[in-house]
Amino acid sequence: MKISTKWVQVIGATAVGLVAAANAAFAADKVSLRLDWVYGSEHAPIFLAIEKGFFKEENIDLNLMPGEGSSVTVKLVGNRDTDFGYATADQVLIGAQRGLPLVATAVVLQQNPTALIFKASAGIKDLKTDLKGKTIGVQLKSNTSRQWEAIKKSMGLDAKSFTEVPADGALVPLLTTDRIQAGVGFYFNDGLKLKGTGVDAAWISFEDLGVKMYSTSLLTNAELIEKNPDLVKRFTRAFMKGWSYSLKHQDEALQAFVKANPSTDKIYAELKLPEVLKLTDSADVRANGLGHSTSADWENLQKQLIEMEIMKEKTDVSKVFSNDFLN
Amino acid sequence: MYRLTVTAGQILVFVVFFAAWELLVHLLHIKPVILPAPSRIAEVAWANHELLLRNTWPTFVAISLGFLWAVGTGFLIAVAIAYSKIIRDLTYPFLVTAQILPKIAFAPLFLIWFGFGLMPKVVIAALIAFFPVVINTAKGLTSVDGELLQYMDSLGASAWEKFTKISLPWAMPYFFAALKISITLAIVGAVVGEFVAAGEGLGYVINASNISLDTELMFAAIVCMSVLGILMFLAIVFFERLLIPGEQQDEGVQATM
Repeated sequence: MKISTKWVQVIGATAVGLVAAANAAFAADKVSLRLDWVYGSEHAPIFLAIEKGFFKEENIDLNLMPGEGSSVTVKLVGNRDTDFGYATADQVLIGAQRGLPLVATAVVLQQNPTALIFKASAGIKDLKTDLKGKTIGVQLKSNTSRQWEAIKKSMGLDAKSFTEVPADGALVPLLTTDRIQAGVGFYFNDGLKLKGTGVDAAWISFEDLGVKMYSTSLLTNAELIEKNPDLVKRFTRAFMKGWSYSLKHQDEALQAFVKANPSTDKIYAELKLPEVLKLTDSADVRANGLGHSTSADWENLQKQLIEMEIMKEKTDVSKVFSNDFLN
Repeated sequence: MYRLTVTAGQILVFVVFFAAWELLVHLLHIKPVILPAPSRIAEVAWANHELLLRNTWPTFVAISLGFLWAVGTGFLIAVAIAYSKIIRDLTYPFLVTAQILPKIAFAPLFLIWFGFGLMPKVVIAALIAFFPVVINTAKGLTSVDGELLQYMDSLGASAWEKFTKISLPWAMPYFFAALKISITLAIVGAVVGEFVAAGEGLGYVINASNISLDTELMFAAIVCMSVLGILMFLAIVFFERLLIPGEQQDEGVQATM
């Protein structure tokens, strides 16, 4: 009786071992990706990559999750709760400076989407003269408010000539009801949402006013890069393939997004995607390929964050980004 | 002796909690941006005490105004409910429904409805602090011993005398039980208001510290808020001791919420 029990155990253990070995050989790598925010058509290229099987081709079984803001995403990646994250470059840099082992493997959105958004009828052309007497909504929970401070300083705007009010997450209703005449936010979110309500929306991009900042990027943990650089390479490749394919086939990307999120506001989704795709462009990208970033621009981002007092100390930017995983 | 031992034990629970926290953070090498150790939070709180104090004031004002508004209107409505069967029957289902409604979920809309600055904070605080006052006080006023009132009648007491001499003192323990719940709700309300609609206050500090991933400052602001909450709670306990005779400070009178 005793012997037979032992044999059962041995056979059982062997079987478990075999199954595990088989799994290791054939099963895809399970990889999690946490986005910056809830699903929107700015993520359409990721949904397209899933639908087209770009991740499967790289033997990756993707678990996609919506986010609750970039600051949460970088903490989750830094803590290794998620393998990859999609978050704004400023939060990656600040997180790295705060000791999180973060590396951006592709800077997807190369341009700063922050803008001063208003109804075209507000007639704001020159910030120095046209803001007089107006009420401006500022989102204190996001760094866009600090960018606005920087612009007021660099352009020498008279802050006493207009009123600023906190307007987190409510720019569009406040603009449509004329509670505010202008608001600081992402033009591909609030600006296009305003347009979607049938209002003739207009905006002045902060990028055009000189606040050049890398935006949403793909990031991972330095430990994962050390442990499995091949996986990081394959994942980044599949992810970026979704973006390059979407640039050529916008309709397919939009369809993939709508198919995965049938309850989405389709008009807004359709307005947003082309604007987001435009932001993937830069001189550097044209020369070196989609997602590429330079040490000089990361340094510039850091310099601005320190000036805006969002970042307290410098960090070594060369450790925070890598172009090695791009094709 | 027992009282003293219990107090020592209560303090010990806190000490053990914070010591375990401190120890775990160090043993597991948890980064301060993920979870700062209590010692680090204390350090940051001290380094930023000016900023924290400056932002405690607007939060205190919002809580106080919201609370007083809730207590004032809540008390009056409770009296109306207690003395008029028709008002009670008509409004009670509505009040209970409104109490259950998750009012915090409306917070982002308050910005649009009530504008900017102090107003939305006070409204949210008042709105969620209001219902326990009404329901508890009404319960207190209606649970008065009927024989006592009959006795007052036999003495030829006026309705006003019955109210001030019998019903009101009778309802006091219920009223104060409600106040203790309401003040904690008013704190939650004011802070939620600051999350969505403020450029100052402790709720705003919590939010703003998120931009720079300053988890230590966020915790320091939470500590400030807790201290503020405890002080306001103790102030109510102080008034309770002052206004209610010792034997009536019955901890057995539980709020209905």
